[in-house]
Amino acid sequence: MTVPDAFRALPRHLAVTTRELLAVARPRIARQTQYAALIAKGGRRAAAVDDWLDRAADCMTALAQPAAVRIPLTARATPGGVLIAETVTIGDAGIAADILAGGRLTACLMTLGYGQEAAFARLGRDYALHHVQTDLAREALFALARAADRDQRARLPGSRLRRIPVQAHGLCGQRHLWDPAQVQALLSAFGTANPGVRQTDSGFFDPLHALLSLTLIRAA
Amino acid sequence: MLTEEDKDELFDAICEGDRETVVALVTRARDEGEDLGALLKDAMIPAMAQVGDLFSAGEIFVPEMLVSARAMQGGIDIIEPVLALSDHEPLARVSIGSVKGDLHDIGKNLVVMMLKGAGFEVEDLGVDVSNDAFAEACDRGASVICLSALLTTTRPQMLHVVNHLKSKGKTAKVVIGGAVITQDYANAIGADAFGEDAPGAVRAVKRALGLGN
Repeated sequence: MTVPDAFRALPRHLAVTTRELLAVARPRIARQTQYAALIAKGGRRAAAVDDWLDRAADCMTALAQPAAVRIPLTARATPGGVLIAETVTIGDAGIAADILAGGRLTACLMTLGYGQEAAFARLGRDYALHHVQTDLAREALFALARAADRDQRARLPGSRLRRIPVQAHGLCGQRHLWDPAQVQALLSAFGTANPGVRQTDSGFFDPLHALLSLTLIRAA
Repeated sequence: MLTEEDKDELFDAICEGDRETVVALVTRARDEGEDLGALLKDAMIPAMAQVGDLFSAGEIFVPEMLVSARAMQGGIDIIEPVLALSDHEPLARVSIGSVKGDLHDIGKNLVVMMLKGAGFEVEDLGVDVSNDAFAEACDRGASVICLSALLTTTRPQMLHVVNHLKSKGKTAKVVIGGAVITQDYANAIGADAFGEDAPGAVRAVKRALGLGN
């Protein structure tokens, strides 16, 4: 199958359950230095955090509706780089060369499908529990992103894939890579397939736990 | 009445995040007519201050601070209703929120916990808070307004809040913090203090109010 054929054959929706995401996220959280250091001390503190992670997972199981939607994007090389979806220009000569050589772009929009306020309320407005829930949700979102990437790679065995990060929440201002207007333009490209993710004027995804990524697909 | 050993145990229980022991000791103190304001000031607040210092020194991480803060809160939940019926005054009333357009609450929430643990009355205004909501908090008695922002896109909103409060004649101190905030930025927009982390925010609030650490 050629890159264009495989590209067109990619499924739009990726089916992943909250349970599957938590199965990945929970042990990863426990391995993070900040949690591992506490768990290693044992005793009541470790037991408390273990209990909080359980309750955070229960909260997410009740609220989350994870969704990952992938769409093909139009992309054409321009003198300044690449024009995506007729609205967004990336000033990257390397990507432009790959597009000219037959490369294709996909966009993937991922969300856990619930808001922070709903989680805070469900957790009895307990700040500590809410904090742990947020950490766990961030890991679950990254697990969703990795699952989407693996799925795409598995479906395109004869291709080389390069992920192009668009916006990763929780990475703080220094790593806010894209102008909010560009992100909004990409969100618009999803049309009715958008699983309920919007962007505020200041560049936050709402719901907060959402990710948008581009993938450049080239022949191997 | 709680003995000095009991108070030491309370101090240690907060540091170690032993909520059950905190609740048991504070409940006993309440039932035996202990001066809960003094207990808070002499045993509990110093414990959380020590936890904050350990965090700022990099000796513990956020989850450990959370466990202590939650243990502390277990005691405060018992003490607050009693103090509310007395003439006890909190250190000050602080209103806190993430500025308009900013939906992040994690840093703000840590500051809420640490401020409560330091003896402040805290009003959490939430996220995406309008300039008017901060001004209205001043009308409700806030002597300090704490502003949080995560992104460079929402940081300028802090200046708008500062200017808005000035234009409305509000005299509350303004303390700012967040991932993209620096002391230089605080100076540039005329904020009264900057907190580099959650315990740092407590110190900043105290500085702004002229309270000793």
